Amino acid sequence: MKKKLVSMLLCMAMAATMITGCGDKKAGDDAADTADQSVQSTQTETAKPQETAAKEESSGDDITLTWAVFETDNYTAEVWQHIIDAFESDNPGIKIEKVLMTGDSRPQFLKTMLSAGNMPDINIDPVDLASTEGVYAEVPEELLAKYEDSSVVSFDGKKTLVPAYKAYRTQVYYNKAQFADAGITETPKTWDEFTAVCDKLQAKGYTPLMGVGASDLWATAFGYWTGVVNSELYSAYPNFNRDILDGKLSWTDKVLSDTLKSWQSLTKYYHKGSMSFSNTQATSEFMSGSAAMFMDGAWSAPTIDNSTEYSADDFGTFMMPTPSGAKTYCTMPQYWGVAETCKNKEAAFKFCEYVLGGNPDIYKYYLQADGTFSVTKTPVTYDMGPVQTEFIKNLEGYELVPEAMKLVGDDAFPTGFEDYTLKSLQNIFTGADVDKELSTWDAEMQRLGAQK
Amino acid sequence: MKKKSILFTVPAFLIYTVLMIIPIAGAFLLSFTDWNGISAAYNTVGFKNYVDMLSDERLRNAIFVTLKITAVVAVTVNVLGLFIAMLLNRAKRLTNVFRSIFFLPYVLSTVAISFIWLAILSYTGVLNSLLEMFGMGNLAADYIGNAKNAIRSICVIEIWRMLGFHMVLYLASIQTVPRELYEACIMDGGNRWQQFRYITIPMIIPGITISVIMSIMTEMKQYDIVKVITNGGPGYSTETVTYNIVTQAFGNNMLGYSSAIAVFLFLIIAAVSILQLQLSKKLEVS
Repeated sequence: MKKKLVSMLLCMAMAATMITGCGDKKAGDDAADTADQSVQSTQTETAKPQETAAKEESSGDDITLTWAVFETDNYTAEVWQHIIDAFESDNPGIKIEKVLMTGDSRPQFLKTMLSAGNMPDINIDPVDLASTEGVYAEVPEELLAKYEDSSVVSFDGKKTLVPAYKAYRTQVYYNKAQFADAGITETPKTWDEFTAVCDKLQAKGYTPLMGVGASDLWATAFGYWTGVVNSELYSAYPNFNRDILDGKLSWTDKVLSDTLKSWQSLTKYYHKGSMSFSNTQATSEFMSGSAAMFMDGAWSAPTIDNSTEYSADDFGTFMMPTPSGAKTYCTMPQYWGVAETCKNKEAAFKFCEYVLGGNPDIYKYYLQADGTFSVTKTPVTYDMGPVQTEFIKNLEGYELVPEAMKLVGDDAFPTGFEDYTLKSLQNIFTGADVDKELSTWDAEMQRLGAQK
Repeated sequence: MKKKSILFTVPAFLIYTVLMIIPIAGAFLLSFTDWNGISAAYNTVGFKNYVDMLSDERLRNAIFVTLKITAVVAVTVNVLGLFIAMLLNRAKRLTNVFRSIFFLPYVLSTVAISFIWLAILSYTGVLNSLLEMFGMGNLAADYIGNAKNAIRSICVIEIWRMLGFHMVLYLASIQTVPRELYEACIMDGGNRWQQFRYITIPMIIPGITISVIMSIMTEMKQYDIVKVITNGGPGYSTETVTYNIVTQAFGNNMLGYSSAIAVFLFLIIAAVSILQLQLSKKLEVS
C-alpha cells in the first residue's frame, strides 16, 4: 500500500513539472514591486532630473545600459556594434550592452524578459507593451519635439515611445530576365493584368510567385495583407480601425472577405514549397530565380541593391495591383522605448536621441541598413540603390493610409490579435474557408480586448 | 537516529519546495485570476478561466493535436525501443556501441536538432534534394508546410529523438531478468515467442510502466520541436497544449487563463499516469 502511495506521489510530482513555469512567484509581490519602482523612478525623473544626472556623473562609475535588438539579413551584428562603438566613443562613461531578441516574436521575447524581471533598458519594437501602464517611461517633451508630429503617439495621454523611423511596406519584386523571357514587356497595372502575367510566366515554365511559411508566421500573409488587403480596407473605410473597434464594422465585412478570396485564387501561382520557407530562405530562393515575383517588404530593396552575389539591375519592383483598383500604400512606424525599470533613464534617452537623429551620420547609417526613412523634423536622407530608388518612385500617385495591424496608440487592436489573424491567414492560404475563418475574428478581438 | 536521518532530507525538501511546490501553488492561485503577467493589478475571477476553456476551440484543437502526437510517439518509441533493446541484448560486444549511437539524439539540444531537421525537411532541403538526385523527384513533398505532413514530421523527429532513451530503459530492465528463467523455459520446450511472452514481459513490467509514463508525459508537454519546426502551423495544425499555454501567457497577456490550462494539463497527465500505474500493478509479477 505504502509502495503504491509513493509511486502515485512520484507520478504526480513528475506531472507537476508541467505547471511550474506558470507559477510565477512574482505574480503579486514583484508586480507590486514593479509598480512601486515605476512610481518611484517616475518621481525621481520628473522631480529631480538634474540631480539624477549629477549623481550619475559624479559617481565616477560607468553607466551600463542594456539594449534589446534583433538581427536580420540587414540588421547584422556589425550594424549594432558600429552604432554602439560610435555612441560609446562620443559618450565616455556610458556603456551599451546588446541583448539579442531571439525567436520569431519580439513582443513575446520582451514580455518574457519583463516577467522574469530582466527587462532590457532600451527596447527596439516596444509597441506591443507600450499600452500597458508602467512598462515604459514617459519620453521627455524636448526629445519628442525633434520628431514629425504625425509620428508621436500617446496611450491614454501618455507618450512613452520615441519615434525611430517609418518603413514602407510591400511592393512586388520581379526578375527582369524571366519577365522578358515570358514576353512580358510592362509591369501589370491592374488585377487582370497581374493574373495574365502570372499565366504567361507559368506557361513559360516559371513559378510566378514566391511565398513564405514555416515558422515565420508573420510572413505568410505579409505581402498580400499590407500590399492589397490594407489598401482595399482603407479605401473602402477611411477610419477602418476605429470603426472596427467601435463595432460599426465587422471582420466578416464583404470587402475583406472578397479580397482574401482573391488571394486564394492566386495560390496556384505560388511556389510549391512556399509554406516551408522562412523569409530569409524565400528571399534567397527568389533571388536565385526559383520564382519570378515576390511580394515583400521595403527591406528587400537594400538587400538586393547590396547583394554581392546578384546584380541589382536584374531585378525591378512594382506596386501590387488590387482587385478594385484601390491605389493606396502604407508605412509602418517604428519606435524605441526606455523601460520604466531602467535605473539610468537620462542616459538611456541620451542614447535614443543620439541614434535617432542626434547624430545624423549614425541615424543615416541606421536607416540605410534596412531601407527605412527618417521621422525627424529635419529629414535625414541617404543615397539609395537602383531597386530602392524605383521602390520610392513607384509610390507617386498613391495615397498614404495607416497600416491597420500596426497602428500604434488608442486605435491599435488588442495585444495578441495580430498573431491570431496571422494564424487564420495561414489557414486561408492553405485552403480554409475564408468566411468561416473571418467569423471568429470579432469574438477573438473582443476576448483579447477585455484583457487590460 | 530516525530524527537525525530526516534532517538529511531537509536541503532537498527546501530546494524542491522553492523550485516546485511554491510555483505550482502559484499557478493554481493564478488560474483563478485575470492577471495579464505585466500589470501590478489583477482581479480574482473564480472559475471563469476554467469555464472559458470549455468554449475555446483553439484549445480543443491543441488537445487533439497533443493526443495525436502522444499516441503515435508513445506507442512507437515503446514498441521499437523494446524491440531494439531485445536485439541489443543479444549483440554482446557491440551492445555499448549501438546503445551510444541510439542514445545520442537524446543528449543533443532539442532546439539544435530541430534546426538540423528543418534543413532536412524544407522543400528545397536535404531530403527532397536526395530524392531528386536518385531520380525520385516525383516523391518530393512539402513536409512542413502541409498540415498533414507537418504533424507527421513532428512525430518522426520526436520518435528519432526519444527512441534511444526508451531503448536504454528497456535494455536495463531486460538485463535484470534472471537467465535461469529462460533456461527453465527452454527445458520445458518454450520457443522464443513464449520466452518473450511469459518471461521477459512479466519480468519487465516495472520498466514498461516507467517508460510508458515517461513517454506520455514528455509528449503531453511537447513544445520546443513544434516551436522551431512549424511554430504551431500551418495555421493551428501542429499547435500543442503547451504551445497554447505559452501563446496565451506571453502572446495574449492572459497569464491567468494560461495557468488554468496548465492546471488542466497537470490533472490530465496525473490521471493518465495513475491509471497506468494501477494497470501495471495488476500485471506485475513478484
